[in-house]
Amino acid sequence: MSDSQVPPPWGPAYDERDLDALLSGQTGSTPAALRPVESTLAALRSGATGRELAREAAARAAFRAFAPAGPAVAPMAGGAEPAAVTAHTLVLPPADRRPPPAPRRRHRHRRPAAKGTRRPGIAVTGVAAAALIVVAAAVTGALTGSIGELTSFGRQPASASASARASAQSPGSQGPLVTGAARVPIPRPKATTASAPATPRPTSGPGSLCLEYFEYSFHPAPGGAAAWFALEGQLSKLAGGPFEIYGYCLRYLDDPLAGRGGSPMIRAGTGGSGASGRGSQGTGSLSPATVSPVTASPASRANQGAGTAGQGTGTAGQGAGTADESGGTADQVPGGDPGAGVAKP
Amino acid sequence: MCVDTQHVVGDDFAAVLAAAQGGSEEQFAVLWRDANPALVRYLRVLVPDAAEDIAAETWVSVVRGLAAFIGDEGAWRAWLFTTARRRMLDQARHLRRHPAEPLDEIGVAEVPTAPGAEQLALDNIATESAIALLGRLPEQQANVILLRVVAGLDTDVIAEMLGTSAGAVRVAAHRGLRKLEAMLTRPGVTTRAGV
Repeated sequence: MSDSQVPPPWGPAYDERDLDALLSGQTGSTPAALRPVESTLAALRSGATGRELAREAAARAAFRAFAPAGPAVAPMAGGAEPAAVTAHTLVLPPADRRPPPAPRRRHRHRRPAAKGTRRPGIAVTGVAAAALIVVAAAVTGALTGSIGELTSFGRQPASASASARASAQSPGSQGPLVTGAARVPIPRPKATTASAPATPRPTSGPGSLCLEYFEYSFHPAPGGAAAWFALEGQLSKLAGGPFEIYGYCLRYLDDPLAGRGGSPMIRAGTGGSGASGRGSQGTGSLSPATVSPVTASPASRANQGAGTAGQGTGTAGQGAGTADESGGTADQVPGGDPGAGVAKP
Repeated sequence: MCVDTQHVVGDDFAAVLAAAQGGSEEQFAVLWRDANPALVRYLRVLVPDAAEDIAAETWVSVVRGLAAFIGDEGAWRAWLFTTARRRMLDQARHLRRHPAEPLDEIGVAEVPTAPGAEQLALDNIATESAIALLGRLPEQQANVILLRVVAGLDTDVIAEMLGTSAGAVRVAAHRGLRKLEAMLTRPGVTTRAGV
């Protein structure tokens, strides 16, 4: 048997101790069979390559982004927290650590309507209601004049029935005087003649215009349609449009639609300027007794007095004067708007 | 505890760690330069495609928990590699849930190359070869050998990390070394497919 036929040595030429030594990095007594393995492990333990240190900037950036700012607790020391830590650490209250509250869900149908947004709706409703009343009156023949003829569809002209109520009121039949009541019910306008002019009667202020406007709307009288349209035109100019009339008149009247069966009321402390002596026109178309609300501060009463003196032509001025006198004790409201009183003959 | 003395900070570790916990970026860089090469090598063997990214995520996690860390250098390394292992498992789980489709083949001329990459590869050819060789071992054996050799952890710590016994760790390491020796001295020996 030649040497070339000698079988290879049985089993590995190293044991577990040699493997443990390799793993521990102990060199010097490594078997020859494990030298390649030793070289491999040494390569694994070699120094860092450039590739392995290439991301140091990114690691520093992460440290700057996530590391606690300022000096922190030294965990190895185990002592109390340094004073410098507490001195430069912003301690937030526990409430700040809670997540911010979720934004309130916005429900359109639950969103409270703004104050101003209701006015147009009310105004439109009011105008629509007034138009409905006018149309109903026209259909039922309550209107007179050209409109009544147009809408009477062959019925008897309304002017015949309208003349029955036409009568001029005497100056002595004044309306109720203001005696301290904040709100005074205004009687309906009674006097409208068949020969009433188509032009609106002179009015003393926007409150009076509003009052007459809604009076005609709620209680259409024969022959008053033309005046009503004229009033509407005036109020449209004042209010800035036909759809603004209702909102505009709300400043001077209580809600005219609140009690449609009754009469609108002029608000206390509001109204137009002082008395203008409407009665001095002498048309006889409107009774002084129809309206005489005086809600005035002393300044407005002075205004009324001036108006009475200035007009000086009729009993309406006297009526205003009477109202002034009687209302002097009534209105002690300090918030009265100077010059805002309404006085009608 | 730390058998590998080539990558450790040494006696200054406590001071370096305290300064890094106090916000010193320079001292944190010392820790990073000491541990990151071993971390990257460990990850390159186990997850070659995402080693750098997982290493970066590992450091972000470490930085976030740095102020609360308490321990010596061995515990530091154990924490670092445990964190890396968790990030690696997260990555594997993510890839299982969201498998990525490979894009079209990129031509050689389009592959981005850093300047001096060839020279760098030549300089580190031994390390690269070793990493490639370890990558051919079964994962558990490669894992144990890397944690012993590269991370410098002892058997008990590795056993705790991997959730096994120290004896099993030792056996796996010995089997891996034997297989490595067989691959180096006898070409044609089975790779990761066999145990």
